[in-house]
Amino acid sequence: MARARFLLGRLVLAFLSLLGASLLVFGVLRAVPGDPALLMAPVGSSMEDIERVRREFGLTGPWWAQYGAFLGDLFRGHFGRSLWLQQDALDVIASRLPATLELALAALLLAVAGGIALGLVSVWRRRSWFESATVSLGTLGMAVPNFIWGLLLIVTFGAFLRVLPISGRIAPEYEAPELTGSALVDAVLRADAGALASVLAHLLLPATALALPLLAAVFRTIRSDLLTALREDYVVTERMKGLPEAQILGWRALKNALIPTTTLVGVQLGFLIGGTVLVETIFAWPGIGQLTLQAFQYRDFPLIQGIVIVYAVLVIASNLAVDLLYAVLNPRVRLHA
Amino acid sequence: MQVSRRTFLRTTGVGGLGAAVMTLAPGREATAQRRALVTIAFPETITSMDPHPAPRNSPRESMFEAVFDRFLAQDRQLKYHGHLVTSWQWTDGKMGMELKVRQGVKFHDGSDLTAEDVAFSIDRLRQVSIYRATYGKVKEIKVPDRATVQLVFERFDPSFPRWLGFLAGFVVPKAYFLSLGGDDKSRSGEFTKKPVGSGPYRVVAFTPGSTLVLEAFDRYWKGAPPIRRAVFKMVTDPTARVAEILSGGSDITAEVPVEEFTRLSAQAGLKGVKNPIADMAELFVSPRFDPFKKEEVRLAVHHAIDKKTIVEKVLLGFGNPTSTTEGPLYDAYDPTFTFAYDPKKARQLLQKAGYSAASPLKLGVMTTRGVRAKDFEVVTAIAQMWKDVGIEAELEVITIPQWFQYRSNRTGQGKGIAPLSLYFWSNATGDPINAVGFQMTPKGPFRVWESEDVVPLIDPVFEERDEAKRIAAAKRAARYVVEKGYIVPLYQVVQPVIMKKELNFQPFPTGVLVPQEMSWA
Repeated sequence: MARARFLLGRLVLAFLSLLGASLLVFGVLRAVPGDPALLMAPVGSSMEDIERVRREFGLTGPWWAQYGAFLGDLFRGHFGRSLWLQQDALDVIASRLPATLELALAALLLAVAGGIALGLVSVWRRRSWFESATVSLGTLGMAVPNFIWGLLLIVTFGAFLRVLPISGRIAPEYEAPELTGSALVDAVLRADAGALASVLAHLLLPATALALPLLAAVFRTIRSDLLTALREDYVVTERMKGLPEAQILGWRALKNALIPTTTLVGVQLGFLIGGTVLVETIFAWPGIGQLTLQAFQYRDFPLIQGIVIVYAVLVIASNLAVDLLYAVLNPRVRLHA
Repeated sequence: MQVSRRTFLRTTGVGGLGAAVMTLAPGREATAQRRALVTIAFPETITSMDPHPAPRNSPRESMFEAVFDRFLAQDRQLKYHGHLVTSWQWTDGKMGMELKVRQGVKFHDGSDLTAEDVAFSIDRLRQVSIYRATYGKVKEIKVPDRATVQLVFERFDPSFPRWLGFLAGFVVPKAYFLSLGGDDKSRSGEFTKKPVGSGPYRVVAFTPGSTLVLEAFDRYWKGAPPIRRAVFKMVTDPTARVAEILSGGSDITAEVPVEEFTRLSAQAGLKGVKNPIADMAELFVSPRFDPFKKEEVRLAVHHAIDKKTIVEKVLLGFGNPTSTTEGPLYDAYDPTFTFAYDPKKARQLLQKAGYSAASPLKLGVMTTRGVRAKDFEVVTAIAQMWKDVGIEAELEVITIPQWFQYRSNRTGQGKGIAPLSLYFWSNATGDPINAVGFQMTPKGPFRVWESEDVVPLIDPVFEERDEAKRIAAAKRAARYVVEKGYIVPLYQVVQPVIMKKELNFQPFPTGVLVPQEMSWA
């Protein structure tokens, strides 16, 4: 019952957040300079042609009427028609979203697993060169933005070492994803080892670039919490009972250290999702991040508005998932609406 | 030697990982297989294979040109030739046009291309919002037989034939397209998933915004292209493009950073080509800036610019200095016309206008940054040249959408364009209508300058029906507007292209990278 009330409360909050996001993006797009009709009209157009284009794009009339039309579209489940692509904006976003989800989930997995693993080993090997090296790398990881990591990885592994592909989602000789929209899942469903290897190879660098700042943050938090936990009474007791250090660290201490780490991940997830914009562009990853920059270039209002709403939904959903996970990890936490 | 379990695991783990990485890496292919494929790291993206609706620029046409045919074709001199339309004739005092359609052409699905497909494509173009301004001039389309299309125009447009070989002027199969859905929007979406054209390549796979995989069409009317398979990788980031060509992941790319060109050209296995294209860098002069009401001031601004130095030192050779709005290869290009770099004259003109070292001319300049090669650096260098003659420029970095917005604010409501602004004007048609014509006509929204003295010079560019007289008028107009200081042409853009040494490809002034024109040595 409490959980149901909690979920209902969060849904209401989510609705209000999305409404706020829609108003904000609508307002900002109309406030910044850039008339899409002027941008897209070919050189032979007259003022009447441009005005007609504006009417067809729904860009004439008072702002509240335009916003009302946008909200009306939203409640009917679509974002309008992309001005630049002349296609349904929701269809365009839906076709690109799986690629972004694939990248974001891979990065999340890499960041959490990598951060936890590094944190564990760093504490296990404390007061050694390994601890110093990982702490330094952790600082570097947090200091360097993910798109810079992307460029460094491209130059190192693509141009210099030439061992990994640096653009696209899968090698051209393999079939484009058609079953689920996820190249990874399609390759598994088709039992195509070559395609799977190609997808993983293409995913590695962009996922790493996206993951590194979060990985560094997770590493630092886990390490700090593990070091604190190792001084706790229950750990001393476990040692006195004769439990192996690896078991104390990897099970008892880690379980408690995961709780603040979960909070951290929840806060940082929004940044990870937002980071897809630049990382996808650098790696020619065909997701909504790459689409965002192109849509801004053309001032494609419906597409930008739709993408912002989708990003807001992703962040809200991921925060909700983290809150629910937090309650699982920490039974003392009560979910309140 | 006893090997510990830890050492064994460490060694095999690293070795196994290395082996796995090597198998995932782009491996070496047999020479014969390699020669059947060309991979293009392309600097632009497309998200739809429908060639009609979306606004595009000339280079982006590369992918569509590989899959579809245009009504007319354009050569490397920007001249138009018969293609799917073998000939075109003005009729009825140039209020009509008759097009003869090539016979024996097949679409990728095996169906025949006829005049119906040509008519359908023109009809679709005039209904698509972005190009309605051009194709909407066609008020009636008739198809008297399989090989003939007759157009009736609402009004005369001397540049119309060029649009048949420009941007979205492609032919799509009528029957196939109409079979795809209930309305044009749904058909367009379905067409993107399975596009059918008549071009040298057919689509094997298309991932919007990522890759386009093509295979040679053996029944292409001009014969199958030399390279059987072509892959466009859409790589918008210049660093990633450089990495693509260095890694061997791609065979050709364009728009690499100009400072990287020499290094890349010197790499073993690579060569560089400097390709002059139809884009012109120009400073637009705002008539709403009071000091520019004086001709001496406008001319001083132009005389102070050392274009040769800018091309050599800032652009590193990737530009051709120009004095006219009509670039080389444009129909109204006049190679005899030059505007001198003369800082002494610039100072004299400014003095005449009442400016001095103690009272310099102050003006604002808007420029993009990173949109085109060295755009901001060029304007910074020009600002320094102006300083030497007594002009103080304040630079403002803007985006392209802002540039359009500010320029359209002509009535004082909202921020207007700066006294000078850098813009790259593209005119791959070569027709002066699309250069000095629309830059100077007071009727159009893209005009640079506004004054009545230009009107009698510009009107013939739009209205003269004798083509030789029209081009002569355009040459006079192009000279006049520069001599009066209404616009400041700077340089023709030169595109850096890097490719494998064994790849034969002569680039086009439109900037396209088309696989059907490529072959392996």
